[in-house]
Amino acid sequence: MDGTVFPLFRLPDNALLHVLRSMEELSLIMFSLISNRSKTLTISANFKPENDLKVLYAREFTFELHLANRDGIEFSLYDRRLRNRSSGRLPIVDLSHFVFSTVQADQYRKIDELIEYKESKGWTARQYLLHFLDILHQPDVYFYYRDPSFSADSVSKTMKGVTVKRLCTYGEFEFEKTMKALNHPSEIWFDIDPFTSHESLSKCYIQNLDYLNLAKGFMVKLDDLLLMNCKNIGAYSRLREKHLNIYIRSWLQGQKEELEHVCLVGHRVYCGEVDPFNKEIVLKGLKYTTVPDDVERLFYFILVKFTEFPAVVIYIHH
Amino acid sequence: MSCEEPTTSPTPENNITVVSSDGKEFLLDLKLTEQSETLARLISNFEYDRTDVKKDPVPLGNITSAQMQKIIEWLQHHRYYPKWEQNDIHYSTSFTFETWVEEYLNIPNNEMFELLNAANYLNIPRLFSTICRIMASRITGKSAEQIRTVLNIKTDVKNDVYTGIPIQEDSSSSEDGMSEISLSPSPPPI
Repeated sequence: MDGTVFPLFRLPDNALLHVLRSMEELSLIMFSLISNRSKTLTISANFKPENDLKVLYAREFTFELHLANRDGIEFSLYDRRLRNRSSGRLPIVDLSHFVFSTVQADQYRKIDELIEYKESKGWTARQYLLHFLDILHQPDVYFYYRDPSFSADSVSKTMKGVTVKRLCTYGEFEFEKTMKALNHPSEIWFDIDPFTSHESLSKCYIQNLDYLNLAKGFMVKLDDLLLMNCKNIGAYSRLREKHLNIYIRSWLQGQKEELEHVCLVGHRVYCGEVDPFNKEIVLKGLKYTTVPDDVERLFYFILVKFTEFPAVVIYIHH
Repeated sequence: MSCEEPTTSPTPENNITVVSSDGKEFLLDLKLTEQSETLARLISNFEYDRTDVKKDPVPLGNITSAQMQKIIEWLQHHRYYPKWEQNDIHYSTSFTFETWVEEYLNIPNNEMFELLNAANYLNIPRLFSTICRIMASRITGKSAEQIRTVLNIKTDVKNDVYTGIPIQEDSSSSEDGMSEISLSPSPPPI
């Protein structure tokens, strides 16, 4: 690169926008961080990610973007000075006030191409979040709550006013306060059971969610399923044939008006064992058609291939 | 694509004269001017493509002789190329350019800027779009600081990004907590 400059802002608007739209995404996002005007221009360039913005809330504050013509970009926010002292990880601090000094852009599968941006604006996680939402034209936000050390108050201060579509948690957390802080996400993924009582778990089940995904630790029972008011359910279960039959019949009888898809995985599948259901008991009293083995169905956004799970995934489409 | 057709010398019947901002005259083949929407429209409006019409020199007040020379070189090279069609490929991770184009645009950033302005003024879509892409590819892989330097962008840290209001170091907290940020941040005690 020669030492001369290309005074971009002196270009006519059409030329300026053409240059911006010719930039690759990472450059454009880096450009947006430079100044107020560069941010406004980036918004004008109408750059939108393919789907959502993933926000990972842990010792680092990370944004993950998936883009149409590349694998994705991850932006990790941290303070270099603290990171060096703590063996590559930040100490636990209140992210709502923590000022990040460094942004590291990681292009997936391009390990040697980490781009580091030393911050000078003194932005907090919240300011970065609002910046990303602005330049990406308010995409859906998926919130990954990875470190249980952070309080719901800290999350609330950072995420205030931002509607989160999906909450994915990896540890115990204050459910009700966090849900409120995130403007009540419509999709929830639990990695482990954060509830201390069945009563609080029941409160979660009765919510009108678009999607509820429960990891293996939950092992839902018939009572749990009957409580749920979700459109889509994904869960592990020890449900036996008779109870499954009851559940299907209650669904078909209209007791679950909102329900669209259910995916129940038998827990023994996870251990590599197959404990096939007795079809006659499951489907007793029901009219049904047999789906050929080679059929593939889209379960919400998960593709189910019947050949891969011949005896353990029961797919029901009401 | 490469087109190595022999170029024809302009004759009074098939050319116009353009005058750069520094007063230098250039004889331009009408065939070449088809690549410039500005010149093509001007020729059409004044019927300069007719042999019986007197052709006055066209002043190009925004373009220097050096830029005009460079543009004519571009027009000559693309004389037999099909009409440029703008595709909508945006945010590409890589653009490829033919060797001639890379050599042609192997010029300093400031000259590139002037040439882009000239291409925009004369409305030469192929040159305009190519310069934009070359410039974008020069930025690829750069950090924000490096982009700031190349594009000569001044920082505006003293203004709040969302309100435009200057942030005072001793500003009191507001509802959304944004004004709590100081200009010289230091990490909180651990």
